[in-house]
Amino acid sequence: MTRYIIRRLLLAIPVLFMVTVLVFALIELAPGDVVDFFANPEVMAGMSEADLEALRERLGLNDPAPVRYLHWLGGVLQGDFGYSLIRSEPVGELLLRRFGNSMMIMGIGLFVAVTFGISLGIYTALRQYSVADFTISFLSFVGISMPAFIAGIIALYVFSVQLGWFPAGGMRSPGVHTLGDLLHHLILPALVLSIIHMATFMRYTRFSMLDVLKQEYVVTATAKGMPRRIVVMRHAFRNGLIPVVTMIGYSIPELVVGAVFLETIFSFPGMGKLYFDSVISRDFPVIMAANLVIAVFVLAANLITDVAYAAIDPRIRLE
Amino acid sequence: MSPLNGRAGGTALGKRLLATTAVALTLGLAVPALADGSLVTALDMGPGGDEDSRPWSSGAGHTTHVKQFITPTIFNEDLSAIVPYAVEAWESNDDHTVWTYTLRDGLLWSDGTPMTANDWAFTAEFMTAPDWAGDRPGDRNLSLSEVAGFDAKTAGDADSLEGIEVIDDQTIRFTLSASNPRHFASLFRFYILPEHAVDFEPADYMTTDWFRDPSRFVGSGPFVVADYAPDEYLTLGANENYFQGRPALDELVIRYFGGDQTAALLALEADDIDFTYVTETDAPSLEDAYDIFSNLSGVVVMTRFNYNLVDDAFSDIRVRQAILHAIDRDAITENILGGTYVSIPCPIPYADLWPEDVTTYGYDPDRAASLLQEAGVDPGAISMEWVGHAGYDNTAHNSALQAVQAYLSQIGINDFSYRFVDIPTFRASYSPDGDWQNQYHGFGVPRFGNDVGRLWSNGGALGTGVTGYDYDADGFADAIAAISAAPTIDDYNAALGDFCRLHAEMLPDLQMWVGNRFGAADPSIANFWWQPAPAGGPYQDNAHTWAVQ
Repeated sequence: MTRYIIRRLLLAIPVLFMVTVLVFALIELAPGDVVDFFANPEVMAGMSEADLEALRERLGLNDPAPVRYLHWLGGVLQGDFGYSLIRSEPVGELLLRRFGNSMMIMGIGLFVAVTFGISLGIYTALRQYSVADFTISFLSFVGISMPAFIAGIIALYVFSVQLGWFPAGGMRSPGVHTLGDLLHHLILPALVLSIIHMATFMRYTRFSMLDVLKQEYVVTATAKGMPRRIVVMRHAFRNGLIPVVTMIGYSIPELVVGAVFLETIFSFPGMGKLYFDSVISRDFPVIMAANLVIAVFVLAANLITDVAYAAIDPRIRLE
Repeated sequence: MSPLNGRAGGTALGKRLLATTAVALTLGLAVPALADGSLVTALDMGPGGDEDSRPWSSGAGHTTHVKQFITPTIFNEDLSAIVPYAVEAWESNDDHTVWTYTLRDGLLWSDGTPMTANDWAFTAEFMTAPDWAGDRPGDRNLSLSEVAGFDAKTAGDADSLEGIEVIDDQTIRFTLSASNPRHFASLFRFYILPEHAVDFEPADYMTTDWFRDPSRFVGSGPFVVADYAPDEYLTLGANENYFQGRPALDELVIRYFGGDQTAALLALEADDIDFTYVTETDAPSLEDAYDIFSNLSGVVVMTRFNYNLVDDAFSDIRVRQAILHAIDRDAITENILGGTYVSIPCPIPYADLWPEDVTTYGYDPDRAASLLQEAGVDPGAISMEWVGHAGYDNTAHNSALQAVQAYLSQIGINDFSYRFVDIPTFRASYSPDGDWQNQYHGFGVPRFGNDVGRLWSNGGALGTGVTGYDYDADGFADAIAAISAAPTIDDYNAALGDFCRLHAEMLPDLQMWVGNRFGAADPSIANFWWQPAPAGGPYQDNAHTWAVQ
């Protein structure tokens, strides 16, 4: 197992390198640069071509692409992600702050989604074709089908505008730095997020459990007179968990990627919105660093998922 | 049985824990109310806002900057005139190349230090330092590019700005490199910085946290920085030393919404904020519950033909006239844009400046068809693609362009399309060297300042490279020069009218409409004023009188 993990970690290095090269190339191919973003056609900012060229020179945008890439890579290897060209702050600090915000909302959302999604999946699988199964399945389809921003707007309108139970977006009240206030702001977006994911986890768990419950070893365990709870949880659920673990593994990178639509409608400063804004403004140090972090999380999630397979199912050996 | 043993005891314990948790959560969730005199706004929402920006280096956001710093002059409330603000008087020599300004008596910085002409000169030297690192030098160019020695100073060939001279603590003299009868109108974005408190170098302008750090910030506007949470909000506290008196508000909070108008509107309706910019689509439904502030935005939405480079058909003015005649702009503004826009005869978005005899190109499809026939142009051979930037990619403008498509098809122009792209793509793909055909976008036309002349000028500070404007025809340059040289305000307005008339005759680009922009404020705010000014102004909003009733 240890050798397997080390080997995967070593393999991740060239993968990460290729990701940075690919992302840099894509940024290069996109029309315009951050200086074009500054020259807003709407306000005719009074900038001359000489101003723009001076700005490009100062930001190092006139250097050849390989030089800029190597300059960026050299900084990263020394722990320096550079400065955001739009926000004028160190990219490392910016990502850390936004990452922390996203982790809170995505973490709570995923935790609730996993907990309730799996529970409801088991519940409906054990009551296939019952009224509860049809009702929960119907609601899960609604959850899966509904775009995040629609769900967000409905939630804000009902619970913030009409009922006044929750603040209408933001991460905290101005000047208030209490945990309670933070939670108050987090609950609604996290719940919306969790409902969307919950539906997915519920569907996967239900399908998987239905499949496993028909297996002979489950029938045998039941025939031996084992209590229903043990049959379900020890024999069926553990085997039925593998596809769900895969789904959870896929969801882990979302902790850092964020949810751009949800963050937008809840005016929540997370990674998703940062990434989106950086792309449309060609803020390449942020785009590069964010992609690097996301790639690290994807690789880590894949590794954790594979290790989890082995932990859940002793028949799987990692070599 | 002990209450702690067995199921009954467990239930009791559970209830107790539940109650404790509920109390703790209730206490934790109880958000301390803001001070009574607090106003929470989304002042930087909408096209005039620029969340997180700083003065002297932003394309917008002046609504917020002017809360923290005063400027020598400023737009009045309805943007119809430039009026004194930090200065009390000015005078120029006969040829308008030397301007002398006198600061008001008793101006203080927020820390109590007197503001003097030296602060003004310091700011000018600071902003023209060759290593000044601002990423949007537009306001610097507007404020200082006319001053003698500007080029030498910014290029590093001179140690100081030749055209700036401090006469005494109250008086400063500007010597210009060319005559400007309205130099005072170039100073409305000249945010004077405190020489004694600025502790960072010009090269660190964009990276310093001075502008957001309450312990270092020193300002001169009605408010000072009190608290700042990146990406979340900026809280401004009352400046006790503001020259027009301490503000009635204790706090002015500017919340950030990442530019999302729906999120800000929901926050307004949930009573989380007291003011926000709202779209033309939302404004009518808010009239009953909120005070609606609206005015023509001063931002013209127009399309422009690059007939020089791409399509010979458009080089014939009759084709351009035909296109305007073919589109019922009044119907579009009234029915599709909900009456929140008005069609315009020229790109001067101020109705009082339009000459009575200006050609308006009303809807006349028959005339359009005959003009095309006269020009010998087959409408079926015309291919048009209007490209806009993402700022106009909304329901209203998509619907308006679909209507344009339908109107053009009525005269046989069936190959019409439109699309929206992000700003870097818009800029990069549609530069003068690009192969673009038509742009659909707006631009800010402040009533004063140099922008009007620059828009169509080959030699202006904007240059052809930034705007893409390269129209050059007999009389056009003269009309622009006449605007700049007009000795009085009346002459200036008349010259703008002449330019309007000439533009309508020549149609170097096709003016479509100018829109009202809207703000919605809670009626409980007293004395509030907001104006949809290009880039946020700045303009006189008398924020020191705003109060929460």
